[in-house]
Amino acid sequence: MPELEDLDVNEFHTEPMVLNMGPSHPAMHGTVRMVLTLDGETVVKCDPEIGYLHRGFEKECESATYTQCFPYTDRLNYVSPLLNNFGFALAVEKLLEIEVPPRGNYVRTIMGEISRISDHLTCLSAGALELGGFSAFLYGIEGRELIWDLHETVTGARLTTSYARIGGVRDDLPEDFVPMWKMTRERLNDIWNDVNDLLTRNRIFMDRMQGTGVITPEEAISHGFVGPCLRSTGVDYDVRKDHPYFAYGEVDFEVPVGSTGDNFDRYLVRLAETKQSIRIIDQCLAKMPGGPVNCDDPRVVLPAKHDVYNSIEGMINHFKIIFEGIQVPAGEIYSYTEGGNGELGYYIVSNGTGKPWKVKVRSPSFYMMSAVTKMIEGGMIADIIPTFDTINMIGGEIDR
Amino acid sequence: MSAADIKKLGRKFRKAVLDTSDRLGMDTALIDKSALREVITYLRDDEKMQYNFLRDVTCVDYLHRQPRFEVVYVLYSMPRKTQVVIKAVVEEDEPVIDSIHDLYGCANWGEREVWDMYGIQFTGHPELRRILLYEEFEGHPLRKDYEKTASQPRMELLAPERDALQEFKDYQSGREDSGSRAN
Amino acid sequence: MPTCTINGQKIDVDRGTTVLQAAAELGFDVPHFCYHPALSIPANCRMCLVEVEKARKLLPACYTQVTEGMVVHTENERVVQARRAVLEFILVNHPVDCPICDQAGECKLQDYYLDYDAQSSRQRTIKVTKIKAFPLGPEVVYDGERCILCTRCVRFCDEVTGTNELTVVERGDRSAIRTFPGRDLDNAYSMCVVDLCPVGALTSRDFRFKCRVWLLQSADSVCTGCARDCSVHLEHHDAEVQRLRPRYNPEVNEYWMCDAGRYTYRELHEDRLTSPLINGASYTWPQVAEKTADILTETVQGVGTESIAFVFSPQASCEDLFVARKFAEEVLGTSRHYMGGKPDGQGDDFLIHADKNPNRNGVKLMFPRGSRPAPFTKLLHDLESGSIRALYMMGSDIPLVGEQRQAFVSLVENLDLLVLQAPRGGELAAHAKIILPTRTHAEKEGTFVNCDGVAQGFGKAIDPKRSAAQDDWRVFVRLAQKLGAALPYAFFKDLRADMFAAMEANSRKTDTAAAPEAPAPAG
Repeated sequence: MPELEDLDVNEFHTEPMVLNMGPSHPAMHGTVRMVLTLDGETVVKCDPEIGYLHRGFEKECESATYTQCFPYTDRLNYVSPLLNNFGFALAVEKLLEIEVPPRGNYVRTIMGEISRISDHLTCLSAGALELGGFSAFLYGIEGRELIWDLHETVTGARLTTSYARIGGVRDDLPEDFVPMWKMTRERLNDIWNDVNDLLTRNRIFMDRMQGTGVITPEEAISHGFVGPCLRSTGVDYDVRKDHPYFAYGEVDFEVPVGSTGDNFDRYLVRLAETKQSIRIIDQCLAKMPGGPVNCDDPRVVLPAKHDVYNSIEGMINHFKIIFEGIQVPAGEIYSYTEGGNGELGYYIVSNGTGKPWKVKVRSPSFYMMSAVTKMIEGGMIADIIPTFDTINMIGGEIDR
Repeated sequence: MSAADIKKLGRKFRKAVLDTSDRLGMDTALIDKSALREVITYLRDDEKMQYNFLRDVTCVDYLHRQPRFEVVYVLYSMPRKTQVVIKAVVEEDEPVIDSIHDLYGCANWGEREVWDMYGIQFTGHPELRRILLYEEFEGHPLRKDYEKTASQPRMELLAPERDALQEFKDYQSGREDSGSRAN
Repeated sequence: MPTCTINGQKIDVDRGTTVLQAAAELGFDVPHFCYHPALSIPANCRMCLVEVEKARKLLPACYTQVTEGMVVHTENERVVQARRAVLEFILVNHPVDCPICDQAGECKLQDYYLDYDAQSSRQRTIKVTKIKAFPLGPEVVYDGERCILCTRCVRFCDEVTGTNELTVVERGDRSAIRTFPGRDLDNAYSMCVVDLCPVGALTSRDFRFKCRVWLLQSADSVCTGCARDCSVHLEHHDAEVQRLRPRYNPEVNEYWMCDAGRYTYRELHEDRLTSPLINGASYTWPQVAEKTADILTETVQGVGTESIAFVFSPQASCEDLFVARKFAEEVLGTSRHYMGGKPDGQGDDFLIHADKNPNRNGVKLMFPRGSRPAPFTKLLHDLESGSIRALYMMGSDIPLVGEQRQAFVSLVENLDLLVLQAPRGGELAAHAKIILPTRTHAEKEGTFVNCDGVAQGFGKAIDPKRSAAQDDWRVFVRLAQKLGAALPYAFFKDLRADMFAAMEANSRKTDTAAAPEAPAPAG
């Protein structure tokens, strides 16, 4: 019997194995199927298949009025719904060429950043969960629950918020928002510290995340990367800084930029962004002016219910806006904001009526998913898990 | 800045650029589809242009207009922070256009989606197949004349189909030879 | 030929053209309530006020005639303020009725409010209340609060129908529309005032609360109530026709149609045949075609082609009749042709025609002069004498009344064969051996020729619900193929080309009244 040391590994007869990481898999965020060809532990080829959550967002929007599109946008990146809502509202307002009053912009900034914290917390904690760190997951999810409570106080729903309206937001912030935020912020800071202590210098975590899922900046730009994934490679591109919108031009915040483009950098970028988001919200609350949150154009914004029920003018106004939709002049626009995952673009074509002719969502995760093969192939099967998680591929956003 | 880029583009590709516009800040050039690769390569590689980021590739269906389709490329220059939109007209009878998957990595999946939803073929694309819908799907749903109430072919089930309603009725009626308690 | 300048654009118009008409030619819409092109011009709503240079006050565009060198502004600040003021006044006493008002969705007040007013109410007083849901007649309901007293309805009854039923009573803000004492709004065109009313003050009893206007889809069609063939908008929702509204056609009916014609939408969905039947058993089209071909061949062999009568229906479209004639003559081989349809009724001197079938001239034009189908009374006579043993009937209408009608029905029971190819069953469905369901005019494309020889195309609006009904001409083509004498028509446009050629040929000679003019475009 030959000794183990005499055996030459290259003389073994091996075959590559095809493994299906199916749409129903604990580590597949939101139903993506990956057909892997494995040579031992090494991934030779990876063929991702998406579309399991395709619900026809774009086709539905073509037969709905602009305001009716907001619930559909909730369900795009469903871990940061408010950012999607506001992105769509901004796009239509650009087509209408109307301005939202300053308080409206501040409210949008605050609520957007709250959603962003929720998105990043979900991504970080899910990452920890899949690598075995269950405690970090629970802490992160507690933070997410607190944020959903904030969502509920302001918008009425935890997840499917539909808070934005063309010309502003649905309602102003409630009176108990500031004290509730102060309480939440304390707890969020504690959670941040706990997660940071548990993970950032954790040997196992670092071993699995550092050096895996690497992508170079040139490849990242070519593949349409945006957001934390692009910034982790060293490219400093953040829509909030480069093309400021809402109230981002009036607050101070840093944009964390990584250097190596691996999973660990993406984790660090998201962790640091969470802190920056808290900073933005505090500044906005301090600087926020009074006044209306909605623009005052009667052709765009619904009149107050008191006027609707008691005067014919309000009734007609309400009637026409609801049943015919807001009449948006013909034209097209590509409007982009910083969503949870990066640049969320809306390409809207209007034909002059109350229903859009075309609404295309440029979802960040879609293009990052296309490059996931580059990050996975050549690595080990175990590296798929952290890569897939830190890309933060949200099924709703990819498939629409 | 991007308005000047469009002008430069118009001067360099005089025959290919059919129209330009800049409404609402969207500097757009409408080009003939045969010049697509030239124009995009120029925009990407020229030192003064540097449009290295393809934000989106999509298509608009203007039903009842000739030409019917417009394939839209939204390009962004990260160093210069400007955006330019290139639209290539595609006729209904010949829904074919060149692929730019080798110029931008993200065009691969973007073009697959345009094929899936609109039926525009991209010559030179390594694997032009459906991306969001299943292969047996018939038709291209984002086209304006796609029948919304059409039903699609079902794929063969490998396991026999279960009648959930019947199972519930059996359970309710307390039959002993059905359900997980049946021996 | 005075030339004027409107909003900077010059236009040369005929003498007598009003500023509103001249602006419309240039594409500028001047809002108006009381103006209607077919009625006299009272200029009482003041919505169409425009600025004419050198005039001190704003002038009503509907009444002011264009003079040489006139310079008009329809969109400047003064005019916009005037429109706002007029709308504000009209809306002062207008009830908050939009959720329950039929006119919502096609209401001029709603449309003009967002376009020209768009300011919230400044009213601090209570609105004046008036009578609501007051029936002016058997068809029309009046709501006093919604009325803006444009007097379109009053002028319609005075000038178009000449019946003078309506008038304005009281004065000031108590003004309302009423009928003269002792009279009802019961002329034959009373529902036209519902179309005329720019707001929801006059509503049709039939359509009241039936369907919301924005859910309706509209198709260009033709009324089948009588031989006038008024052009209509056929408005449907969920595969059911909800109402008919007159469509402007200067050659036939201008802006109007009669009440009886409006009610014809009901029979489109009543008593419909839905499945091909032979002796009560239902079959698919291929099966029934096979069996019908056998039965027809048998009958021809049994009684001979000259004992088979073919009844042409003047309710069918020209295309159907064209193929029907080919089927009757070339495939069945019979020359015993008769004219069916509904019996005659009352006519008047305006739009209503005594002939209650839309396409009698269409039937006539399928045949050269001298060989046109015989009247139905002759069929009755032939049945009594026994020279007709089998009947192929297009349409289930019987153009007889009273005793003759009953006689016909009882004679039909003794026939060897009755084939009924019709959309509705009627009295004959129980006696027919073979039933072939067909489509009404709302469910297919086609052409009708009216009593004056005007040919109009109509478009398809709906599909028959849960029904196998087919176009008449397709049924004939299918049967002809099974009978071995195929007719060369697979596509509608080929059929139309041949049909128009035949109509052209048959209308030459002396009968100029029946010459078809170029058909109006189909919907």
